[in-house]
Amino acid sequence: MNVVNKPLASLDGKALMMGRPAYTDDFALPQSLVVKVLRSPHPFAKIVSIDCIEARALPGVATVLTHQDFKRIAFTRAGQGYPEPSPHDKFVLDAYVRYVGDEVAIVAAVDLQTAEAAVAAIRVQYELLPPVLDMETAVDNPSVLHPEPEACEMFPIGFEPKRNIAAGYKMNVGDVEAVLKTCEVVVKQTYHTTAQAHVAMETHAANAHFDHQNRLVIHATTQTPVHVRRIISQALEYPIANIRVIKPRVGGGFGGKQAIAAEIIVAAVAIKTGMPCRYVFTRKEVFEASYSRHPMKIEMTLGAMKDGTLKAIDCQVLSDTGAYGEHALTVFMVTGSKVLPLYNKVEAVRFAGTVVYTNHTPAGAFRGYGAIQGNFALESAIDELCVELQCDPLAFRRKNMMREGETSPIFAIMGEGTEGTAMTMDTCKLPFCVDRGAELCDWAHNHPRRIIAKNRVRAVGMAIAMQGSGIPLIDMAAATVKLNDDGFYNLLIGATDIGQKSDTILAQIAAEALGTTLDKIVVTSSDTDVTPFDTGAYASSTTYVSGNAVLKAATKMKETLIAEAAIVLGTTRDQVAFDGTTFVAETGRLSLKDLSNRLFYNHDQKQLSVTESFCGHKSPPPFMAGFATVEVDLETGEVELIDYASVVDCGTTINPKLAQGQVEGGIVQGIGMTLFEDPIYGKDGKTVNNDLLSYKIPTRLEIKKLTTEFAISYEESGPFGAKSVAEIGIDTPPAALANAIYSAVGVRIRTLPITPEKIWRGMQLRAGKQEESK
Amino acid sequence: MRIETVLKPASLEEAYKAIAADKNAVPFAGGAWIKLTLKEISTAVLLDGLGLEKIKVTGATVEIGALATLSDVASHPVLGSLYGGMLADACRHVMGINVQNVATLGGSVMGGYAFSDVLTALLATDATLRFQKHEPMKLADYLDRKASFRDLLVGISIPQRNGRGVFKKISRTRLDFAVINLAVTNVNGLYLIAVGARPGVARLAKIAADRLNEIHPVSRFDLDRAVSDALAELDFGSNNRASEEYRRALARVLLLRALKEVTFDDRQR
Amino acid sequence: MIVNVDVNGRLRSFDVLPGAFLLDVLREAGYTSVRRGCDSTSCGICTVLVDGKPVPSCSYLAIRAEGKKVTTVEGIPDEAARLARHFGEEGADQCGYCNPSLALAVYALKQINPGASDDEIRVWLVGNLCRCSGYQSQLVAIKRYLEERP
Repeated sequence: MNVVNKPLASLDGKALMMGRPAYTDDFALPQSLVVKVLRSPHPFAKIVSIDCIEARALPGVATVLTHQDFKRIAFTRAGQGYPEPSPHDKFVLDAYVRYVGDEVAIVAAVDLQTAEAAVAAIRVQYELLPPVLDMETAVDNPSVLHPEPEACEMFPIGFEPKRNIAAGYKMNVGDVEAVLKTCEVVVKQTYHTTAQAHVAMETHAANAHFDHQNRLVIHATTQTPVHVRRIISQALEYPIANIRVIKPRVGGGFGGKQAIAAEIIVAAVAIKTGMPCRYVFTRKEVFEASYSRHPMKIEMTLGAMKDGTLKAIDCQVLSDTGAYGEHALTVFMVTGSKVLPLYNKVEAVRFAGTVVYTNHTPAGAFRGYGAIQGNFALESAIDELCVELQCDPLAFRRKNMMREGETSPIFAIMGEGTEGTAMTMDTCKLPFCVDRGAELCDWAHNHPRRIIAKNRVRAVGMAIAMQGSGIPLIDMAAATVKLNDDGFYNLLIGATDIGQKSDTILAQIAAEALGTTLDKIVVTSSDTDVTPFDTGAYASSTTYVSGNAVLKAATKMKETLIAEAAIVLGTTRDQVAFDGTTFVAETGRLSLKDLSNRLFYNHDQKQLSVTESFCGHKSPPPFMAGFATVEVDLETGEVELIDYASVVDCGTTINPKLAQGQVEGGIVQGIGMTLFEDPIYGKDGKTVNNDLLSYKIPTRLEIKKLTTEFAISYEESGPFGAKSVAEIGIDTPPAALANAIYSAVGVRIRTLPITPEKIWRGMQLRAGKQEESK
Repeated sequence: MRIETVLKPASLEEAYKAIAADKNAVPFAGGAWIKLTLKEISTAVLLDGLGLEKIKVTGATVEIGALATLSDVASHPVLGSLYGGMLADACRHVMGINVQNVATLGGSVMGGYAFSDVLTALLATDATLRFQKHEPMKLADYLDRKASFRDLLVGISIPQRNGRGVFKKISRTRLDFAVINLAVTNVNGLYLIAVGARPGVARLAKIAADRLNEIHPVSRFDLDRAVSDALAELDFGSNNRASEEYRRALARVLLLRALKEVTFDDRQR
Repeated sequence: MIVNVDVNGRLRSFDVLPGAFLLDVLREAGYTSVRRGCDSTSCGICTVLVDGKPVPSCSYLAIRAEGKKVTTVEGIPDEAARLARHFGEEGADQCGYCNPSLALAVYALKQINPGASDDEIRVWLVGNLCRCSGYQSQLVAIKRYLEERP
């Protein structure tokens, strides 16, 4: 291969470094109204009255919108395909506010100062309702978040709003209770994960204006342009054909920009005022009023025999979706479906749980999407089981984990909100990943621990993980390849580049298939008026799903070119060889450049353009093994991460350096969730750390060393052998770090984040127990 | 956060008058965290160009202008070695270089932030504050003052003494505020021990230092006792970053480490 | 009020509100490379150089820039392009939102410490957050850039 699997520089990196206008707010019209939103200071309240007279009277205020200005149409901000697996439980504005940060009123004014003054001038009378602020007490709580009759499910998702249940699900293979009874060792533990924040560096933003055809043009920081178009149309009853959504460059998404956030607000303002407007979320608004990761309580029960055979897994989940059920069911299902198949040889497996409403900031899609929560629980529990069995964690995993050519019954049972799709692992290099990772971290020397200094120990811990490559039979992508004169191409894709550099790797796939070079492929992506359909950047779908669409389109274009060349050369298609630049047949030679110019200007003139679509019948999982090497201070509990070694099977890496970037970015985001990021809710339901001074993501100084390698792997169903790689990196750090810290100091932390204080407390407790036993 | 007007005074006296006249007038000392800490400012009094940026080395002291930035301090040759470069080290622990380029020593003192690394280090240097009107005042006394007064801080003077010093900080990430910070100096057997972010604002552990100052030479045992003294005399509390109990445990560990570093040479530790 | 600033070698006069911050003034004047991240001095995204030093423009009063030299990445196109080449080779660029601010901070480091060690680079840039890259590829790219002699 000449272009694929090569570490080529991205298409847009240089211009972005040089500061070219590229992101959403760079494209707001200069005369745009500035939009601000009045947000609820209460976790749960009924709006008794809103007095906007003073606000509307302020000079420069264009409009003030309240719930009285909107027809009550329930929708979901989730940003998924249709019908959504998330309940329709949100209104653009409502007479009820359900979390601190929920929208109360929308203001648009000539400048920021005026808009802020108008927000401050709105007088709202609230009737406070008792909030539900603990997921443990949400079910059947006398306070019901969604009593409104409009709230509904699109298809059965276990939606029971009167009980504060947004979604529920259960499944089993075999009889878990019976098998557990036959096990010689049973480990049962409960794990807690947090409402991690995405912290994309660009905050959510959108702007809207009417163009020369009086069509509504929206620029937005979105991962899902076609869903934005559809949902705005439905929620505002505005003709979908009159909406154009353009996604410029996006400063990071990680799932946080799958939601419809600022888009619907600027659309409403533009429609009401007819004027261009812009809305940029403050960092506080992103924390408070976009969405977070679903915090979960996971009860994991494992049963095994003394010879190290894992026989049963029982996984019970309680998930907090906050005030609205965005991704409630699907994130929770992935906690089972992309975690439990890792150990496919068990006799019985059960998965069940409930996703509840609380008066917290909503939770939604976030890289890892339930798998990171489930992985923390399962891979921690596996190590806890290994302690009981006195078994080496590597040996245990080698014996029990998924291998190539195998399957799991879970694939057929569990999909994302629907039934799943049976599939066999045509590629699974987990054995290599585990062996190579053990070498990289010098497991033999460092496990379980090594004394480094008087108060310092070094230890290693590991975890394995799997993810997916799109949602089979649901995620669809299309690509158009268009020939230009002189023989270069346009690649039009709906695929959504949010900084993961999908434009670049999709261009690499096209260039490889066409036998050309990257500079001959001009990419246009994510403009709903121009580019073909693509569900968007989520579910690790782009490389595999969009990549396959591009491969099909480019391959078809090559065939079309050969057919045209054969006509010119006076021969048949099978007699023409094409190397990407020249057609050669016994009857003569023809350059692509000459063919193109001839087709446009001289003979049998026509535009060659090919559009192809792809919808997967399976979702081949990428796999990885992650190995954390840590040093722990025995006096303070401080953890220093010495190295994080990752060995990944994502099939062919379309661009090895960019794939490495996806893995390492995920790893560090996972490290952040595990060690540093500690989202806190106050007793009043407010997010306490809602700025970057108090919510701490990893800095350069916490990340000393990352070692990232890829297994040699070729997934036949993927473009040039590729699987997706966006999410797999984030899954292992919680369990690998928890396992390493246990190895270091004998303290097992089951509630994230793993702070030095928790480790210190664990060490104190152990010291106390040892003292007692003396 | 809103600033109504900005004043560019021609003299320190004019700046002082503006501040004394209006309690919502604020000397603009750098701007770090301004959007989180201050809501309404009637007049932002700019102090640029009034000579407060300078760091002057006299025989007995280093005179740091109130508007000297944390990077000015961190890169100053004399402050880089005074008390083992402790103050410079503390300045380098505040956020990143871009913040260190705007945050000033004066802002760090007058902000009186409980999390401040700079205040803790300054306390252990026995620093004196110089005001436009008020008599010079030891930083320690200023932090303990009963009656507040409105004045313009013009400079901080640090005694140039030959001694060892060390600053220590524990924070969740390098960009976070301290869970605990402390600074210790030892000038020929005279100790100063400051502990900040307890989570209250930095304080000197006077009893601990006074008792150590009586003893020559100091043994490991004496240092252990000084740590206990300091923990007994200082108040600790809980917040979102850490519990009181954990803060005490950290203070105990770090203080002993710091005291050993300023007392013994490497082999003796 | 009027503030006169040298932006990238060109004298500019801006009519600003007294409390205006440099970030907003520069963006409104069309310097779109200057971007908002946290608005609270915590992320480094809004970094510009004032008299050659990196500062957070979100909290830098515009009128304090009177008579000063302000550099945005548009003012160092060749250096930014050089750094971009190394970012491209290492796959370190991802979403790119932080890259102009990073280019400025790294350029400032190059002026005073072109031989910076890994740790010195990390300390210098610790206030420039990135959520995409995991930092390591950026470190390699930045080191190569610093080592490059034009």
